[in-house]
Amino acid sequence: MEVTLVRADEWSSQIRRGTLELCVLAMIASKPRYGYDLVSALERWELLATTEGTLYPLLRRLQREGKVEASWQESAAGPPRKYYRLTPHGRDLLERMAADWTELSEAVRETLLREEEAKSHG
Amino acid sequence: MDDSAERYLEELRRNLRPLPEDERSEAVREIESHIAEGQADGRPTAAVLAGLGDARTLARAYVADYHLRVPRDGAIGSVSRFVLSSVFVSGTGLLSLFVVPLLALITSLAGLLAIATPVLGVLRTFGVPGIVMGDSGGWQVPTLWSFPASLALGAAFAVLAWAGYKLLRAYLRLVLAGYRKLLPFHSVPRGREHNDR
Repeated sequence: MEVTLVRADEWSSQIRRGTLELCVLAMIASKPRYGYDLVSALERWELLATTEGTLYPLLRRLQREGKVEASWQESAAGPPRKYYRLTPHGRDLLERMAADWTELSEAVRETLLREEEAKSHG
Repeated sequence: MDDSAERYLEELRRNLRPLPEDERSEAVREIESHIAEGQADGRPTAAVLAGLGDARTLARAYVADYHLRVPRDGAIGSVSRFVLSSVFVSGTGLLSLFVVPLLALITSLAGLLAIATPVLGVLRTFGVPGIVMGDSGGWQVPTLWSFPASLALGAAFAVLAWAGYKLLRAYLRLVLAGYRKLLPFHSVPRGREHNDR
């Protein structure tokens, strides 16, 4: 039983890692956002909830890979903030990733549903 | 910024050493901004730092993500990559065949002489025969000056040994960095796992 639990945890962690990038790109698609803002927003979803320790290195990598660009801006009351926005390359990528994700989740949902129905009818 | 936050940033900075300077300061600056943001939000510093996790683990995640490169796909990419790798490996291999033994020889020889010279100087001071200190014209260092002169010569050898060692290290580091760049690891190194909740 122990083994199964660990496996399920690992599976969730892998799914999360893959989807976090998609979510971050999606979250900055309409308006630039800064790290603290992203962390707070991601905290709402338990499965997605990511530690700052994962998010900041990811942001840095996305920036280096040219998917996002960032600029430091002074804030009215508080420290300067680093705002992230999509680059054209990042926008293309997001579109493709989002389409893939929709198709994938639809396929998974349908598969699960069909199996569930077969079980109840059989 | 209070003491615990300063310490955290200092520890982060220290552990980001494998990264280039601009990467380091950019990361530290952003984490500093995050901490200040949390404090301005009314959260206790300890809670903000706990959210960030261990500074060393955070640094490791930065370093791991830095080395995580996008795998290049496409036939041309992989062919040119293959050629580039071959040229680099054989080129540096051939160069290393000369550079490494030469530098190692210079370093160890100079190191040995750095120790031996002052010893000989002491012996000469006490009149042990057969130790020549002078130029080819027949001029000799006065016996009384044997030790200071040998000490200076020994120091020069020590500097040479040190320079040889530094050069060898720099060369090896450069070559290894080249290998690492050509053969990026796509797998996620262990240790990043700890960052996920």
